[in-house]
Amino acid sequence: MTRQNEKLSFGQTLQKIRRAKEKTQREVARAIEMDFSYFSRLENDRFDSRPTRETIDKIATAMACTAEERNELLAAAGRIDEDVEKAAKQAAENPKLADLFRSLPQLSNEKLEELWKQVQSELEDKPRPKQRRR
Amino acid sequence: MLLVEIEISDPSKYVSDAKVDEIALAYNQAYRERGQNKAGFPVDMERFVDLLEVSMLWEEIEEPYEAVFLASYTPDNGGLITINERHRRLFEERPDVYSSCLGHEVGHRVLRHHEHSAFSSEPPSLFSELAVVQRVFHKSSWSQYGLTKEEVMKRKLMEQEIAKKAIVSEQARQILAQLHNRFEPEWMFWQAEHFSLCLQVPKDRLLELLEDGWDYASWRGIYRLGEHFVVSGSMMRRRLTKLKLIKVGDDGQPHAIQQTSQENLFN
Repeated sequence: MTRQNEKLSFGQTLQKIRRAKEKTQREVARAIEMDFSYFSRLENDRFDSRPTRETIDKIATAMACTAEERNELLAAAGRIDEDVEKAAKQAAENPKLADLFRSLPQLSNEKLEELWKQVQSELEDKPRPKQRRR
Repeated sequence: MLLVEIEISDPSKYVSDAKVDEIALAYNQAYRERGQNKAGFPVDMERFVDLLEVSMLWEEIEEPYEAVFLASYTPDNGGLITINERHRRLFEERPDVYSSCLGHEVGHRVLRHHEHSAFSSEPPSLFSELAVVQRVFHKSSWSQYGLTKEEVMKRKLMEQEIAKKAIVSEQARQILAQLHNRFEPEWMFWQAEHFSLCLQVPKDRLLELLEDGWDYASWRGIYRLGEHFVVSGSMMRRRLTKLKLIKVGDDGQPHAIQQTSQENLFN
């Protein structure tokens, strides 16, 4: 397995994105009113607990992250996108939806793409809540 | 990532000051080319560390009795500079010390000190039976960062005193072993120190100023140069002395060194 394919920790992901944005730890910490030494510990995975979604959102905003980068941070922290979380809650109350959720990861990327297009065309006529392409 | 096209020889105490200066200049020029700072000074050291893709961490570093650790560098996971949270106030009050300290740790990284055998195998030791503390090397502030010669001397005497007691005291042996294990060898310290200074006061920029007639043969002129490069006056003095541009006479005043080889510096 190449290094690129290795799963990055939250701190490594944060550091990778922050460097790509050419912002220093201090600049990001200042923008979110966080102590920079605390931020440095966050970036070096020195905490046992995961950062909250709120903290991740603040950091993502301060670094002007794209939706994809924000989701990358959330995923690295073991948290899922808010919309996905909402859908998962709905699935808990709807067995059909739950079955669909469980089956989706078994599909190939091509099939998922196909399905996604189908869903999109179904939803085109309907106003829908904020959707993010993952 | 900062890319430099300069050969960096294997770490050794025989790497000359001039070579370290050359390496630091190459890094400073790469920093300028990245568009961070066209002048090349003052170097935003935190940004520089990021460009080297070295991680930075603020954390409390345990300090042995009467020793001061400002920061450390470990090569693990692409490199990590740990800054001792215990001295945060000093760093906030003295940004020049903070910059120099980071520059020093960067020096260890660039000069690949961690690859030296001093850190990969144990030197012969009278106390080899003692458990070896994980070897990391630290910035020891006892040399010139605000500490007087007396304080430096005090530390050296303390070490000698402990060495005497080590013959009979297990605790003293342990303290001594810890001190030896955790301080970088002197030559590494001074090389990293020289790198830091050369990085902060790039040779080409300094010589340009001197060529333009900047006064460097008076304390006032030297301190003004220091302000210009955002380093302390004593650091500026050291930079000029190492370049053999000045010497301090018996009268306590700096004097420009007149020599033919100096002319070459400006060509």
